[in-house]
Amino acid sequence: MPKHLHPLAILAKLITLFRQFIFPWIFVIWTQWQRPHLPLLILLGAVLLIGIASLDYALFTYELTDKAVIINHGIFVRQHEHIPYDRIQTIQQTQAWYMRPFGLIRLQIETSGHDKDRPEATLPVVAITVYDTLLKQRQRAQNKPTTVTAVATPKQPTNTYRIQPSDLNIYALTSQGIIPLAAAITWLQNRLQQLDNFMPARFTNGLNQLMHRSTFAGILTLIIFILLISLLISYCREIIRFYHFTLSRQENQLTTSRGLLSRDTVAVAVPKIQAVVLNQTLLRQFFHLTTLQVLLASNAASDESKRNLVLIPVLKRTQVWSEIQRFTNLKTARQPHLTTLGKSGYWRFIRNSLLLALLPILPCLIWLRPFGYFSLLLLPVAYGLGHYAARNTGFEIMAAEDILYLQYGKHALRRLFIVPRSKIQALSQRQTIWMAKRQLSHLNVFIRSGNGVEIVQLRYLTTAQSQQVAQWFEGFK
Amino acid sequence: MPQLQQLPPQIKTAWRISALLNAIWLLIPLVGVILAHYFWHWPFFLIIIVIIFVLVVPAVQLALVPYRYRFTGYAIKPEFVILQTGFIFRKQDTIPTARIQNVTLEQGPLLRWQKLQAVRIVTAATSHTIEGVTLDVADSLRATIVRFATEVQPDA
Repeated sequence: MPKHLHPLAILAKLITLFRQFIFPWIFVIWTQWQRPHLPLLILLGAVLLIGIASLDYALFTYELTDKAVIINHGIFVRQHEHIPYDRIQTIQQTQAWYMRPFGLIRLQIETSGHDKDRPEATLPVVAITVYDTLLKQRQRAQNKPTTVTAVATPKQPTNTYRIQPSDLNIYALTSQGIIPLAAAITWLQNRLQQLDNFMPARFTNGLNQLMHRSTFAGILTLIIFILLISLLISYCREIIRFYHFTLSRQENQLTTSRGLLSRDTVAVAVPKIQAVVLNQTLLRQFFHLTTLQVLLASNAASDESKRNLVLIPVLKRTQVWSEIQRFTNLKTARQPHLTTLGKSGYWRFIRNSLLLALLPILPCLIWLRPFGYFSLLLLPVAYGLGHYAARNTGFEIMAAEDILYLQYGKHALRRLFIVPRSKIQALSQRQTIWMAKRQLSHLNVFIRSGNGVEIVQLRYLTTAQSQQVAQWFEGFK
Repeated sequence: MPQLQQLPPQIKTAWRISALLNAIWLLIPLVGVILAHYFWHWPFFLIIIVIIFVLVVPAVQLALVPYRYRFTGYAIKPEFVILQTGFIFRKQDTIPTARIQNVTLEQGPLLRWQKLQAVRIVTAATSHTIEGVTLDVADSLRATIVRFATEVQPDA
């Protein structure tokens, strides 16, 4: 029996419609200002919007049948979506603050089809019970082929992880949201220095010492002030995002939920996980903290920029492996002993990094003297980044479990991928004619992620090393 | 290292023609520079630079054809498809048949004239192309790949 959404959906639709047509609205009001028929126009617009929203509501129906979710919608182009339960990759529910008193949610259903970059189906405003029904139906559908094993294993207890307030604190404090702001500050600082240069020479000569000290102090205060503000902003943002973060596993169902203002819940089937990723920024590396992510074959995270699902925001190094074992099917996960690069690999990483640094340095040295000399400070930074990237490149093959560990470091971020052989979509070995002479080769591993691909690239391995991975992948012993 | 199969030799003709056709596109900036010289008095040496460019790019492409041919190959195994391309920038891709989502046969006018077909292999995350094989090989390739692909679990 097809059902309608909750009537609040009309209001939600109105809000989105209003947002979509905000510029026409402003245009009309701007041009018709002080004309007698302005109120009439506004009334007409309002009636039109309400009409569209109501029509949309009336024509939107959904149904949870035994085998699939069926959604009918569209005013001009009627669309009938038909999503079998066992094809659902992720179910995501978001509860905006105004939905909470009514026990309503917004549901997004994703499959692994990837011809469009939006969820397969969205139920904008429905009762929370719909989510539970959907979850149950999916579990039933996805467990069907393996009923035998399901009976054999006793029902597992629910595993739960809840973020500790102190952990959340550390996570927010070590977030690098301040870096773009810091860049803005240095830019501002340069501007101020130029201003100094434009001052007449005798003026600066006279007040030389005093002026210099005071501007310097002033700039320093300004920097510290902006830094503190930006730190505070990024801190609050992370707290709001991951407030009361919980992760729970019930048999093959992973559920994460988080958020202060709008509560975001994502449900994933464990066998659908493509890979587990351990992320460490340089800052968090100092504190031995790790962020645990999983790659999925659908867009799971609500923020478009981060399509990977955060499994646990912050973990101490000692807890990482036990938590991976607890929440994924990688029962034997452990700290890998990575095979790392040879000397020529190190040299190439550092060389590339230094060459890249010369791009901004050379113009600075030619045209921006004497301040341009400061750009030479980039060289040790570039050397450090190159060395960091080389040191963190490595892999380990766990032949018995058919699992590959891959690690690279890029832009001072270390990422360790744990991927089962069955989830690797393709593998590519690349080399230039010059690298061939030196027996070097890049290794690209392609893993499905979101609606696209995550390319894990290990650069400057020896040909023998990348061959070793390729042969394991191809199954020749 | 598995034994790779070479593409049919007709592909060399197709590559040479396409190198020349690409050169036609390069004529557009040449015409632009000549017009600019006449109307806005752009310096003459710009025309010479573009002419050199128009001559050198296809010449290099033509010269590299035999090398490109020698270093391009493919192998179809029950479990794997292996593709190799490139002379200066070399690349070897390994795609498990079990991961292949679909196989597309493509044929532009050049390939049709040479009675060849390009085979595009798509997985859930990547896309790979065999640049040209004879028609009967293309058909049997498709059949083989599809057969192996359907034998194993279809889910990503």
